[in-house]
Amino acid sequence: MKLRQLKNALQQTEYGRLFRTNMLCSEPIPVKTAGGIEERCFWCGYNWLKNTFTAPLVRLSYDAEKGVGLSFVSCKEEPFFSVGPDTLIQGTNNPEEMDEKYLKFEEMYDLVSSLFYKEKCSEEEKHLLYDFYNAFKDYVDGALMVFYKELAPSFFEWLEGELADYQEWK
Amino acid sequence: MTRYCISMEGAYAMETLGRRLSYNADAITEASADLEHRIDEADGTGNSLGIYYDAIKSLMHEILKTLENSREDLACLGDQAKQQADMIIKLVTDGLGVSDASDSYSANRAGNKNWEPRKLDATRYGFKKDSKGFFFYNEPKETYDKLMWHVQGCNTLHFRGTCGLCSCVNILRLAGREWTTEEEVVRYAAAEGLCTNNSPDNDMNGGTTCEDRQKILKHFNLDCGTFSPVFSSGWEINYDATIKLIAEYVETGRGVILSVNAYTLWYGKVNNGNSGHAVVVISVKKDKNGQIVEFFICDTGSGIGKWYKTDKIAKALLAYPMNLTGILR
Repeated sequence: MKLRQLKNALQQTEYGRLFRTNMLCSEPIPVKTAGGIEERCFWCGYNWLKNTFTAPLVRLSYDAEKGVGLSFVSCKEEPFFSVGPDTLIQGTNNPEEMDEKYLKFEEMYDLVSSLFYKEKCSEEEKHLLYDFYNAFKDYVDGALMVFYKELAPSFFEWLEGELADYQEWK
Repeated sequence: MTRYCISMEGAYAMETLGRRLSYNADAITEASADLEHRIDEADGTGNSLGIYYDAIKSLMHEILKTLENSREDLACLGDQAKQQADMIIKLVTDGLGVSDASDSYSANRAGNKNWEPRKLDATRYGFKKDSKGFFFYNEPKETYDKLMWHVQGCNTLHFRGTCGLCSCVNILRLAGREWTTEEEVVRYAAAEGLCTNNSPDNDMNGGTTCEDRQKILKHFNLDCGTFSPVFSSGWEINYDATIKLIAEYVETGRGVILSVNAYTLWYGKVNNGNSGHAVVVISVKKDKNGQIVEFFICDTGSGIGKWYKTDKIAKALLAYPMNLTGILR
């Protein structure tokens, strides 16, 4: 499923009905579970005019194929790194550059999504994953990166594991 | 009453603009704070506004003078800022022409309790032809200028992220509850937890979901449902079918609040689908072949009401549920 479709699926789940204006939904991160792949996201308060965020308010997961929610947890109960939702975070990305960066990220996501959680990728596949990871890090605001890693540690462990012996990554 | 609301909007909108653009106008801030205090007191009783009317009028003259002096500075900030400045000057100027504000304000307040939406079997309006041969529903410009709430952030809780709440205000106004203010809706929503009310940043406070807006409208006696974009297989939005659906709702007199990406709507940027903004659709324009070419959008975030090309609306659309009422007008 393409990134755009993954996002549309979330917006149509029962959780999509809880997403308020002035919030930011993170990019969906796939996580392998006993039941298959689930997508995980977090939501922050978002002021796009000032490019500021609150720490995540909610963490959630959903089944994109079925368009149904799987879990929805308030960060008041389970905060990220003990950072409460009242914390304001200044974004670091330049909004003027975001279009180009997002399009690159989206393109790479759609290109490599079939490789997610594949073991022993070929050199060519590793090259694609390397480009994908760079596009992701380039696009996602640096201030939010820590939350992504806590949201889905297994995905980043897998990705960095596959890239561990890739020449350019070293 | 409408003229009174315009004057209040003008004064409040100016404060909002001042905050947003951070331009250096201490005089406006001071005058606006004083005005807000007086309005707060007037709101408390609903009847005492007349006592303050002369003071408000005098303050507005001061504010208008200061704003006009700042027009050049505002123009430097870009077309949108200039448009807002021009609009606010117009609003304040209109407001200064009010002569019976307090009377109509009290009268309408008394009417709140018994308000019911119109019961219509079909829309009362049809399409008109413009000078270029396009057909448009009702009178969008006039509706926008005379009826709609223009700029969000005009409330004493200082919530500024109130696009969805102001969209409720505008749906209620379209439905005939013309005296509805942002203050009234924001106060209710905040008290009932039907909007974000605990963010450390007031630009984030006032945020709503589609369901929040449904409940708010219900409180004001207006039934409201939801609709979603039309999907083709695999969660791909079918934009042509969705645009047709929206047009059909609007031209049959129903109230529609769209969920869009503001960054795309305002600046034509890529829609990454990660954040939402609410706007009301007032009208639809078609060519002689019936092709939908534009929608008239009331956007309280930008403070602008204007025609947007259909493809721009399609690009800005999100997949979240959106609000839909019965026939309002």
